[in-house]
Amino acid sequence: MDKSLYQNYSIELRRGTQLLSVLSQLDDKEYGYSLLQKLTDKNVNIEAGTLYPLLRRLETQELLKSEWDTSESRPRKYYYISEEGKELLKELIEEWNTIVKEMNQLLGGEDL
Amino acid sequence: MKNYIERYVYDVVRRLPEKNREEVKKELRANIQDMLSDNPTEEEIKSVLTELGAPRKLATNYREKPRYLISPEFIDDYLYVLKLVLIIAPTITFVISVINAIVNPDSAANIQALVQTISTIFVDTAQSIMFTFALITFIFAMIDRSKKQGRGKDWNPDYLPQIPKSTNLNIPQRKAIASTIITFIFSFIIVFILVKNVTYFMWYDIDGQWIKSEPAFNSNIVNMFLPIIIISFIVSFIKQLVKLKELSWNMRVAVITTISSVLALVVFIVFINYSGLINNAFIVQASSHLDISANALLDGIKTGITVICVLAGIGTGFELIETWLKVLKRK
Repeated sequence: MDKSLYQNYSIELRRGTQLLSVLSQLDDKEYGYSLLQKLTDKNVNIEAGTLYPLLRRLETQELLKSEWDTSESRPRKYYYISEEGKELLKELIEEWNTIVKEMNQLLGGEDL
Repeated sequence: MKNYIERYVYDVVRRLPEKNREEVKKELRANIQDMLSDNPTEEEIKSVLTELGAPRKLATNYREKPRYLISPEFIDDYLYVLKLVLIIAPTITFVISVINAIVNPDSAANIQALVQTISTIFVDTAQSIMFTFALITFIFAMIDRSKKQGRGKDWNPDYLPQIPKSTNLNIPQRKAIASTIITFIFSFIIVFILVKNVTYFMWYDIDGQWIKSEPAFNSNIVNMFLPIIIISFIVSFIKQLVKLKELSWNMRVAVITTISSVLALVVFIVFINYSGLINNAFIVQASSHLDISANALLDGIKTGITVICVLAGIGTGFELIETWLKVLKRK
């Protein structure tokens, strides 16, 4: 089997779950790197080059809020989920559960 | 310290709209420093930056909308039109450039002039290519832009082209396209020759210098016929377009072919036989150089013209017979 074909489709599959992964971990305030670590610890691998811009985009869409913490030696930008973000997250989790059910139905009966 | 971090941040940020730059710079700097230990070595820094990826790519991720000059939606049409026009325009330019060179006796007077001439032809053609390319690209970029801004009509099934049916009584699309292009180029060149009256059919070596002959045709007569000649070419071009659209030998194609061919034949015969078309000065000059009497030359030319007219008539006759046979076969 062509390895790159697998890689392409595998990445596409994961890309769909990126938003859910990120939003679900931002109940607490996190900064870019801490979120990256949090996800890696839970075995979810999003590339840094994808995650950082994603956080900015979500803030533009008002799903996240941010604040700069200048108290430490290094200023850091902390993100946390907004009210709209929480609502969207709830709906997306429902959608996700539906998808899981559908997929189980589709794939469940097969001999894999 | 080769300043990798600052240079990286700069390279990303310069590709972003100005209002975002300061913020992204601060954020990116902080993120990078978080990914490094307190006193990072150069190796470490380079490794982290490689992990983040090429600045070009990172900047793309920061942008909200994908940016294309010509989006995937239009790229196929763009390439198709581009191919077509890049064949037509430079060919015309090339031929006209060559004609200009031929008409000018000094163009090959010596090696230097010849090189100059060739380079002029080359430059003219290259310029034509570049200009055409820029114009088509600009037009399509504008079309793309206005589509993005929501202008322009939505597609609906009425816009669908007919399927070309493939039997012998149909015109292959490639042939139709090719003959349309050729007709266009050919007509354009002929009109150009007539308009500029570049009908110098001979060169004379006068005292060691090449002088072009008098124009063979009388300018006033040519100009008188020019409108109808142009109309005849336009009708011929319309014929090609109809063939292109219909792509089969049907009634419409037969009718327009008949009109176009008959018109062209009539115009040609009347024009070429018109008394006073041939420039007297040309006859006088040519006959003296060819060492025959003016009358003999004139008779010879008239005979030649008659032969050509008969051949043209026969050719047109065959074309029409062939066309109508194909149409009748379809019934």
